[in-house]
Amino acid sequence: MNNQGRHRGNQSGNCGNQSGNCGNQSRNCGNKRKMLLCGECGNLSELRKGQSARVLALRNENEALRRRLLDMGITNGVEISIKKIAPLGDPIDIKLRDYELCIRKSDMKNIDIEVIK
Amino acid sequence: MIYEKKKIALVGNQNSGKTTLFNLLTGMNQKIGNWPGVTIERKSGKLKGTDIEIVDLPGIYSLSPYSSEEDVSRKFVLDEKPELIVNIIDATSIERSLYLTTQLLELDVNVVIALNMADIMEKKGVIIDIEKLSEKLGVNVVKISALKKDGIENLIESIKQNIGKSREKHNIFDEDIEQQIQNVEKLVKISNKRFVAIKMLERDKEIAKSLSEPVFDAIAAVEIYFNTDAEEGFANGRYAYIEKLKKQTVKIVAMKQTVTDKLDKIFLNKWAALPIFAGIMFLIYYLSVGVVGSLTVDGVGELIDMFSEWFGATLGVWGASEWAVSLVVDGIVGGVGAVLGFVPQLIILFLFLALLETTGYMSRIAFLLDRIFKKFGLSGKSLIPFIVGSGCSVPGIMASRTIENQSERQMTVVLTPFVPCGAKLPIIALFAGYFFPATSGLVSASIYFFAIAIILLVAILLKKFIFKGESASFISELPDYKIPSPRYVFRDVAEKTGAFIAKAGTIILFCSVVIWALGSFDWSFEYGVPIEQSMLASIGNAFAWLFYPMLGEWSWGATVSAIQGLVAKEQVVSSMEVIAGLSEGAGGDIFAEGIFSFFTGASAYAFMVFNLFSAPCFAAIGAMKREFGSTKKTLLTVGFQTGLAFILAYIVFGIGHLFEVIL
Repeated sequence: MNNQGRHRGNQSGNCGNQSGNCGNQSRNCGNKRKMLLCGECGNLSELRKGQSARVLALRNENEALRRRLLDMGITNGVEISIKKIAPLGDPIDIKLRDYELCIRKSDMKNIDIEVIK
Repeated sequence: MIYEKKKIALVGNQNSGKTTLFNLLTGMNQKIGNWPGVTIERKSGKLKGTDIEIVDLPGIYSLSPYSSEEDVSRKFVLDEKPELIVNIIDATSIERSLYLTTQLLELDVNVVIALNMADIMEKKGVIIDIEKLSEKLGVNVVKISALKKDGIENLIESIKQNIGKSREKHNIFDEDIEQQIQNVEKLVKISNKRFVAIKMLERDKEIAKSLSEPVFDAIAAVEIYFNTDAEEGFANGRYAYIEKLKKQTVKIVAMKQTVTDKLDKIFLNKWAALPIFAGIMFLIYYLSVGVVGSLTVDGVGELIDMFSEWFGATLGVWGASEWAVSLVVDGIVGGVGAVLGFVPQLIILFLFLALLETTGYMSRIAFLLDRIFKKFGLSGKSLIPFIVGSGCSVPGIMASRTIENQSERQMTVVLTPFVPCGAKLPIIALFAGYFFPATSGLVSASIYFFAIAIILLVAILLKKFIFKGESASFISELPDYKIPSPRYVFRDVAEKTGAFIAKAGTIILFCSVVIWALGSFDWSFEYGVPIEQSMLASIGNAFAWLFYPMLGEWSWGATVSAIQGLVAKEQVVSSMEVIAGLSEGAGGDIFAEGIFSFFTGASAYAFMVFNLFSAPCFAAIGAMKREFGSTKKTLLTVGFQTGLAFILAYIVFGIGHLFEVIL
């Protein structure tokens, strides 16, 4: 088997090294749905419009899709923000590396992030 | 000539302007559009004034292909060994574009970078230090704007200077990784050593079919260094290099809110987006079939009638025999004229489609309807074949290649012919115009929405019973909105209209003559028999029972006409005109009296539905076979489509007839 001995590091452990400028953010109380606060970790589908996050790890099972996401620049440490949301709530247009990419929420669930702004 | 038999490949991300540049460099007119994936096959041309061959390739984001059309590009670059790669980079998204560049630079071939969209880049407030970028990458970088035709001369000069030259390769990864790459390179026996070595370390399925022990050792070493699998490690490494490079060469002065963002506030608005989309699609059909149709068809029809009468009389004066006059008037002028009468409507339809393709709205449609289509087992990307298919099914079916997932792609191929194409428009316009004169626009639009409903319904069934499996992903870019080039839109419309007219002058003409002959002779080859005794009638009578439940009438004429839709859908209209002409002897209105006077609103709508969903024309069947790569699958699909068409037409007639009886 070619895949023998494939090494996948445990990268999701480095949450909390706040690299963003979280500052004195007001707690968003009126919002009932779960919202990630600055410095918290989660997955990309939980990120809200206006927030920015840093990618911690890609957990996509599908090899071809994972490769594509890497090729498109969704790599460790890259900063992502939510740009546009389709009228029906899915897919989402995200901004990274000075360009925009549309991606479905189900695929975003497998991208671990840390909110930095 | 020194440039003889040299080959250049145009390589770049999707929608980066490769084909626009290709057209400029070769003077050709290949199709362009403002959505990712317009080019699905390689196209070849000669650099103006030289013998250098330029090959335009489908857009790729990396040398690891994701969909079938992307594989074309990788194969070309690796197997056909061009003497030079012109790497087109979209200056407005330089970071992502350079990712592919880092891979191309690993190949043995020389590279020239064409930094495209330089004009937009400056407007967006991005400043790139071209000389520094060129120095760092070790290749020539030329600033161009393919759209504004700026910098093309410089690029041609650079191509001529760099073609076939060797180039030094840079190391872009960390020292330890480079060491491992070199170790593996020593084991590579073929060309493009550095590229192959990295692919082996990444365990690429295509290249690294069998790996030896030393390679596994190297893989283990890099994965420990990367602290992740090699694939991700190398991707991270490339982007890390690009980020560093960007810091040194790119300055972003200001990122203002662009026109695109402002327009998207409207076109992708939470509440307005779907109504706007439905409105646009409705308007296209309403305007082309309804408004323009009622304005022009009568006039054009009269013109053709006048010509037909005058021509018949002239032939008579010249002493032509009765059958010769009938061949020309009833057969040729009748059959071809019936189709040509719809040219004005098609021009409007083609114009709207060209605008959808060039403005950038097309990708938005995919984006905003993806959620719905996902529910039905399709992807938003299926929308693009459907919309292209409303012009002609053949390019529509081919456009399905941009869909990565195999079941979604095959479903799209099965469903694309259900979209009313330009050739079906004459059928719709003819029936809707005559039987629903006050509401022809609405009725034509209703056919379109009926088609969408059936497409979604069939998609569910296909997903449930045939194309099982998980739903795939949707990864796409939203291109910036662009004002379409009037010259290009004009050329596109003229080309499609020209093709339609050419078809009328060849295939339709030929078929009309055949129909005329079959309708004028009986089996003992006697001319001038009543049409009911002709060969055509007996052929039609053999199949008429199939059509009885949708027409409410035993009609061999409608039957043979519908069957001829296989040749070309507009032939249905031609055939009806020829048959009507022969049976009345004087052309005139198809439905007014005689053989087709039995049609009512219900049977007219049912007949439209049948022609919409039944087996597409031979050209489209051929396209389907190319995409499936299987005759059996193609025949099954055609059988399924035709069966469905019969059932739907029966149901429509049943319900419609019920209303007619009650009212």
